[in-house]
Amino acid sequence: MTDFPSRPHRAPLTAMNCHDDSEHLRQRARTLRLLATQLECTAAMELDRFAGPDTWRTPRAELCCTLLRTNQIQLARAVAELRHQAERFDERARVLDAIGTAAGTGS
Amino acid sequence: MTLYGYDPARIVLLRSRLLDAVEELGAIRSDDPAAAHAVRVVTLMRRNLEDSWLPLVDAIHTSTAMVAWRRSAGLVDDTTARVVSRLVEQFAAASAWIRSFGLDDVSDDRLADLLDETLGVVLDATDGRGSFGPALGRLDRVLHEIGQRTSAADELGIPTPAARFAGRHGTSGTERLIEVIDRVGSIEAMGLVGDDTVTTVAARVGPSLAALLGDLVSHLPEAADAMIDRAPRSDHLVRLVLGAPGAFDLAVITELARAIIHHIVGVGEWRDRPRVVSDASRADALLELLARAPGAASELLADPVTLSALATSRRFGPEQVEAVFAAALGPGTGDGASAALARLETLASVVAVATGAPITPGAARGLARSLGPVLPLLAVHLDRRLPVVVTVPGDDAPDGHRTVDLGTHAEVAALFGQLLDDHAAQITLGVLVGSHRAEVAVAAIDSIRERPGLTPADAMGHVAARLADVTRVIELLVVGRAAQDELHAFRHAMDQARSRRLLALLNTTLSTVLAPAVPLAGRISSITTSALTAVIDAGRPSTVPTTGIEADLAMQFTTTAIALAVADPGVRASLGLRRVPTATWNQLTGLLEALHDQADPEERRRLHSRLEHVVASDDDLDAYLENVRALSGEDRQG
Repeated sequence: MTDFPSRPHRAPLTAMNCHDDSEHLRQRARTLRLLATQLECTAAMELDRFAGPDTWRTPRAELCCTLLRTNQIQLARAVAELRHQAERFDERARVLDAIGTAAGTGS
Repeated sequence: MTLYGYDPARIVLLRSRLLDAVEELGAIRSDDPAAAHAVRVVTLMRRNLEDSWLPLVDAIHTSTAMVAWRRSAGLVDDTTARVVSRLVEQFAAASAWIRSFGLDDVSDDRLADLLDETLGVVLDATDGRGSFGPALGRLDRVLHEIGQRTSAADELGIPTPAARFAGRHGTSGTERLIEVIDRVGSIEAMGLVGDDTVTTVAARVGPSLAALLGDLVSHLPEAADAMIDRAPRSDHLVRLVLGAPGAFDLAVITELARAIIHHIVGVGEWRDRPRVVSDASRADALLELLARAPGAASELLADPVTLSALATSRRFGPEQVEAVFAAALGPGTGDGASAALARLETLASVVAVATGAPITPGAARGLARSLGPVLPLLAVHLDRRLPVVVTVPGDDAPDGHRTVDLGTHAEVAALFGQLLDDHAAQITLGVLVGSHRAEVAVAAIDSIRERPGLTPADAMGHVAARLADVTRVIELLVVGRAAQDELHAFRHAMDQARSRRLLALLNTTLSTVLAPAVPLAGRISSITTSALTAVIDAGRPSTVPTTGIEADLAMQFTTTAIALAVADPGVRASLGLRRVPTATWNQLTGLLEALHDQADPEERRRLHSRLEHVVASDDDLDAYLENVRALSGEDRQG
């Protein structure tokens, strides 16, 4: 008979474990959303308003503005990703709650 | 055609927003792994703003080359172009203010409040509640604005930002400022690895913090108290003061030094308080600073506890202690009666300290260097039978004089004995006494010239009286040397007795404890004891070093007495020496000149011997010298 490698031990899905984990996931989701809002509201995201052609007009300034726009797009994408990840954490938390409830009622 | 240029006012606004953006991005942190990518983007963005935008904006600030682009573009009419040109010229002329951090429109009171808030932000950041780099950058901007306004306020005679801060935030604001100084100093000292920007900013805010604290201390006595109270526990506060001494009143620096000295030695308020003192280098640095200001050095030593600490503790650098004593008692404190009084009172305190403890070499050398102005006052009041009470003419006393009791003759001599115990101090004393003798000789000549009708006996009396002052000082040195040698002998005897007791105890222990088990141990023990006892008995006490000053001073008496007569034919007549042949005077003049130019001790002795021979060959000269020796007491020096 072939010996199979032992599986890593996992804590049983008890009602208490599920609820703790879901609360942790919800907390992470809130943190990520807060961070997303913070990033959206930074002065860097509207810096281009003060750096237009009325302010300065040099080749190097245009290069800086191009770089800034690139960074702003990257940051906007990162903000979207944060919110998406937060949604996934909330969804996972809901699943865990359901499992936990089922484990608690013995069904 | 491509047009290049910029709008100065909008550049200023852009810079302000840029700095806000950098600060905000720097404050963003997250430990969640899911946020790692977002944090990396934030870091990249901040670096781009710092590395590309800020240098460009700063470079534009310092350039006026492209300011007139609107005019050159032909976009406006001639009138507007003239107005713009004028504005450009004014802008260029006032380019110093362009380095604005966006605080130009903030009121003075609001600026004071901003400072207090920023100090709180920095403290929170050092406690881990925020990002330190941006907090420090914000502090840099606020301090820069304060510095600009302080210069203007001084010129206009209006309250400075520090005065406003003192008025609005009082002692608590000062304590917050001092706390920030301490923590920023720690961070600078640590040299944050991998973040040179922070350590550079920390180094930059140091002088601004010093200027602000110095201004604050001058407006708020409680601020000075808070700073002095904190100083013993804060290396950085002292380093800040040493880096910008001009920002602080000397009185504050003196109190600071006093607090640190007390802390190091454990006296005054620190007598029974626990403390950790790693080294005294910051005290040494402060002493060096104060030694350059004689008035402040004198003020420092006016406190008996501080004086005793500096005179007797070996924790402090000898060069620094020497410099402070020399400055405090030297001529730099002034020529008037009050300065003379202060010197004597300090000397009296040193005499009192020296009776109970050995003074350090640094203090000895400093005292020796400074005794020049004191010796003439001291000499006339020396008498072995009486206490040394020096009288100084003073304007505020009823009879126009004030007295300082230096102690008994033996106590003053004991101090001088300790000075002689240091080789360098002994040489200095010898030179000072010799100089004093030369001065009194000149005074003697003047005294005789002013009295043309003097008999030779009276003239010799005038000479002897002046030279007697110096003889009394030399007598003090002789008594002091003897006392110090006696002390050395006493200490040596005590050391010998202690060594013998220890040896006896060791011998007894070996004999009674070990010998029964190891009989040979008893035999070895007695052999060793005998050998060590012989070594102890063979030791000799140390003595006050011999530099030859006594012999030199004795020779100098003769040369001074003779030079006095050689110098002036009119004086010779008054002294009863008119019959001495010219050839003899010429011979004596030549010998005196040779002695003056000769440094070799052996050659000097030979020349002196010849001088004495020439004097002894003439009856009048011989009688003159013998009479002056006797009248001045020099013959009792042996």
